[in-house]
Amino acid sequence: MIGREPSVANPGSAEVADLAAEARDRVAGRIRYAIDTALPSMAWAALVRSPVPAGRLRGVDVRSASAADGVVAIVSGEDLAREGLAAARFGGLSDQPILAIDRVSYVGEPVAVVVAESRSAATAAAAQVRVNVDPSAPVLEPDAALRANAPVVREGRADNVLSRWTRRNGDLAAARSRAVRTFRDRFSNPAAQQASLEPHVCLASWDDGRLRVWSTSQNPSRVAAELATLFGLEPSAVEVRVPPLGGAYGGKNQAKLEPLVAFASRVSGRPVKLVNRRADEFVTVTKHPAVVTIESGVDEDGRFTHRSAEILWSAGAYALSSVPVARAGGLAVLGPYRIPAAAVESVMVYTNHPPGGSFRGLGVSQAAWAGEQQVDRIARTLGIDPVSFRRANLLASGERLWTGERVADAHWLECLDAAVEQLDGARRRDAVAPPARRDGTLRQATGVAVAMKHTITPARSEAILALRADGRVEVRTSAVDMGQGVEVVVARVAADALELPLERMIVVRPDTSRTPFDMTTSSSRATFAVGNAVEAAAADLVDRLAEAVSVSLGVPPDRLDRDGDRFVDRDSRRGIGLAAVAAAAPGGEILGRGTFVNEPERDVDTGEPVSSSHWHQGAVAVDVAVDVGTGVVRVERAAGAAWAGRVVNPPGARLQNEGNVIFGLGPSLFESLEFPDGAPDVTDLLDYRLPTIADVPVELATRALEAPPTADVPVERHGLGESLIPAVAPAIGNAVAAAIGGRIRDLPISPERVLAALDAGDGGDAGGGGDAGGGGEAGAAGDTGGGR
Amino acid sequence: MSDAIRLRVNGASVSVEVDPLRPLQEIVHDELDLSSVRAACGVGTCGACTVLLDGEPARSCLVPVGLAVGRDIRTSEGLRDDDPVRVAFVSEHAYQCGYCIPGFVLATSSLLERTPAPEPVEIDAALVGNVCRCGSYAAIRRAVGLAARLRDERLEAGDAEPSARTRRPNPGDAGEPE
Repeated sequence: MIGREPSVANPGSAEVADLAAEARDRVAGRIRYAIDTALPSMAWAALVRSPVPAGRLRGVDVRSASAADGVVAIVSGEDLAREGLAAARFGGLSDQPILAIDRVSYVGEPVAVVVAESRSAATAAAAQVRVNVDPSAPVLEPDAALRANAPVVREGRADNVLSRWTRRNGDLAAARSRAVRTFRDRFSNPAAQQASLEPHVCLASWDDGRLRVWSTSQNPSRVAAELATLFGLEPSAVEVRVPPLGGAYGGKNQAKLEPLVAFASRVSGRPVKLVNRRADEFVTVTKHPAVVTIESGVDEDGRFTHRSAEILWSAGAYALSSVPVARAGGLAVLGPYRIPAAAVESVMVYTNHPPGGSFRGLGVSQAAWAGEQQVDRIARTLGIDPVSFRRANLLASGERLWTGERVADAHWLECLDAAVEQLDGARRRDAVAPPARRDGTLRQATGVAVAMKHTITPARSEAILALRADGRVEVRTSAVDMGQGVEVVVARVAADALELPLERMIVVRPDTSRTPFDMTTSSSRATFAVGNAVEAAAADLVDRLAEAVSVSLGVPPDRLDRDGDRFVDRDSRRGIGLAAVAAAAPGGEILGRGTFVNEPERDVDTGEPVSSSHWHQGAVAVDVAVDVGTGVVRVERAAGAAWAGRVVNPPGARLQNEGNVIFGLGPSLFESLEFPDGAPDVTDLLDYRLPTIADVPVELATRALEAPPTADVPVERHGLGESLIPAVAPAIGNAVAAAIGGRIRDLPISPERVLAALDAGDGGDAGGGGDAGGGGEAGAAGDTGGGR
Repeated sequence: MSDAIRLRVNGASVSVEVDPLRPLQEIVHDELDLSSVRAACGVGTCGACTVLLDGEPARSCLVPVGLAVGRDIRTSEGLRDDDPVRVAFVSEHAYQCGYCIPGFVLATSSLLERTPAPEPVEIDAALVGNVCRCGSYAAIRRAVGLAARLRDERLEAGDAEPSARTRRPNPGDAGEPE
C-alpha cells in the first residue's frame, strides 16, 4: 500500500463490477476521484487570475516567471490568438473565451496558465506573472447593470440583460380589483458557493490528435461536444471520463476548467493537471444572487386572486446556467397554487462577478424564499393557520398552474400533510430535547413551506446494455456518480427490467468513448430520464436476444419463452442460455440500446407545451428555537416529504431527502458570499461556514411518497435531489417569524438579522394590518417600490 | 529543501525525501498514495484529511510532516474491512459522495475508543470538526450508534484481538508494510 511508482498512470476505475464492494471502498477511502488521477509525464497547472473586476487586458509579463524553477510553459491569450482560437467561445451563451482576451470581467478570471513540473513550482511561478490591466468601472450590482449609462459587461451586447423570462396569464387588472387584501414584499438572496469538498479538477492529454480528459464534470457528453467544437475536432476525437465526484451540488455543471487545461496541454505538449485550491473555488462558480419583489391578492375566502413577481438576478460575467436559472425561478416563484391571474418577469443581468452557475435547487430556492414566506405572511395576517391556507390553495392533479398549463400529477397536499404529520411524530418522540428555557430567552415556533421545481424539458438520455459472454451485463450510461447513488439506480433498473440478479450488472462509468450521450446529471433527472433510457435499452436487449435465439434454434421468436437465464422453445423445450447467445455473437456481446427524451406534453386546451414533463414536489416543516439574547436560530426538529412516484433505492432516497434538509440549512442560516469591490469577501472554509453534525436536528424525519402500484398505469420514477431544498429556508424563515414576530427578508437568517428584527419590534404578520402600505411588516415592505 | 524523513504509517516504517514543512496530508496522499487522506479545505476546518496521531484525530493538512516523525500515524487504509466502524458505515449507508467519510470513520474510531457508548451529544461533539457537504449526518449518527453496538458485541464475544487502530507500536517494532 505504501510507496507507488509516480510514473504509473492512475486514472481510476472505469467500471463498478461489484456494487457491494464499491460501497465498502467508498467508506474505506479506496475509490479514486479525479483529484487522484495521474498520467505518465504529467505536468501541473496553476492559474494566473485577474486582480480587478473589469478592465482592458494589455498583456501578461511572463519574463520572470518563465525563468522560474520547473516551468514548462506559460499560456495566455496571446497563445490563443496564435493558435487561431482568439474568437473561440464556450458556455451557456457561447460567451466565454478559453482564457481572458482583450478584457477581464471579474476578479479571478483566468488570464494565464503556468505549466510546471510540480504543483508547487506552478503555483510559485504563477505568483510571478504580472497581469497588465487598465482597470475600468465595474458593474457590481444588478440594478446598476440596468442603468442607462451602465458599462456593458459583455462585449458586443447592447446592454447588460442576459435573459428576460416573462409569462402572464389571466386578467391581472381585473383580479387586482377583486382582491380584498393585497400584499407586496421584497426578499433577497446572496451569492453562495457549492463548496464540494473535492474541488474542480481537470487532467487533459493529447495523443495523436485525440484529446483525452478526466474531469469533475456533471455533463461529460456536453463537455466533450464543447471541446470538439472549440478545438475543431471530430466529436469522436474527444474522450471525457468522469470518475466519481467528491460532491458537486450543481457546481460541476457546465464546462469550466476543461477548455483551458486542454489548451495548456496542447501548447505545452504534456499531459496537464489542474486542481483548484479552495480560494479558486469561490471565483470559479457561485449561486446566483437574486432580489424578488412579489405581490399577492386574496379574496374574502382567503383564496388567491392573483400573484405577480419580478426577479432580478446577477449572472456574473459569463452565462453558465444563467438562462435556465432565470426560467426555473420564474416558473416556481408563485408556487404550486390555484392562481387565476398571474405575471412573472425574471431578469438576469451580467455583472462583473464570478459566473453564477447551478446550485442545488437551481433558482427555485431563491424564488421560494420569497414566495413561500409571503404565503405565510398572508395566512398569518388573515388569521388563518399557514397549513390550512396552503391546503385551501394548493393545486390538485388536473388543475392549472399559474402559467395556465394543467398539472397532471400533483402531490403537494400529500407532501404537506406528510411533513406536518412527521413533525408531530417527531415532537412525541423527542424526549432528549432540552426543555424551553423558562427565563423567556428562547422562543419556539413552527414553520412550513412547499417546493415545486421543474426538470429540464426536453432532454435526452441514452443507455446501452451489453450482455457479455460471461453472462454479465454492462450498463453503459454517462450518468455521473456524485454521491446520489446513480450507479445503484441504473444497475437496479437494468436488473429489474432484464429480470436478472443485480450482481450480474456492471456499471460502466462515464467515458464518452464508451458510454452514450446524456444531456446532464443535474436537474434531479438521472433516476427518471437515465432510468427510462436503461429500461428502453433492456427491452431492446431482450428483443435482440430473442431474435438471435430464434435464428439459432430455427424457431419464430413468438415460440420462445424466457426461463431465467435461458430462452426456451415452447414446443421442443430446447433452449439456449443468455451467455451462450452473447458468446456466439460478433464481438462476444449483444447490445441493447435505449433513448429517452422527455418531450413536453401539449396542453389539451391550449396546445402549448408544458413547462416541465413533471414537477419535483416537496414540503418541509420545522420547529425552531430562537435565542433572543444572541439571535441564534436552532432548528430543533425537521420533517420533509417528497414525491418519489416509485422509489428505486430506498436507502438512497432517504439520504437524498435527509441531505436536502441538511444541505438546505447552510444557505438558510450561514452561507453568504459578497463581492464588496468585486473580490469575494470569503476565500476559505473558515469564513464560509458549512452545516456540521451539530446543526442537524436529532429528530429529522423524511419520507419519499410513492404511488400505489396499479397494473395499467406506469408510475414515474422521480429524482429526489432537490425536492425539499427550496422549502427549507422559507420554512425556517416562517418559523422564525412566528417565534419573534418579525420577518427576516434577506438570507441568511443570521443572528445579526434576527436581533435587528427583534429590535425593530414590528407587530409581525398579524399586527398592524399587513396590507401593502399599511403598518407592521407590510409597512417595512412598502418601501420597495410597490411591486409591479 | 528536502530531508529524509522516517514516518510510521499504519504500523509500517517508511522513508520519504520531502520538505519537513510540507503538510502531512500532501505526503501521505501524494507521496505514499494513501488516497483516503483527502485535500479539501486546507485550513483544518473540514476534517477530510483526518488521520489519527497516536490515536487522536488530527488535521493532517495543518501538521508539518516533520512534526509527525516518531508518532503513530493511522489512516483509513490501516483499518480492516471488518472493523466495526467501517461495517456500520456501510450497513447504515452513511455515505454519499464519500469524500469526507474516511475522516468520519477515524474520528468515530477514536471516539469509541474513549467512549464506548456515546450519548448523542457526545457523538456530535466528536464529529463536529468533520464536514459532510452531501448532508449524511443523520445516517452517520445511526452508523456511530451501530458501530458502538457492534464493537460491544465483539468484546462480549471475547474478541480480544485489538484492532489496527488501537494497537500501539511496540518500541523497536519495525512493522510490516501493509
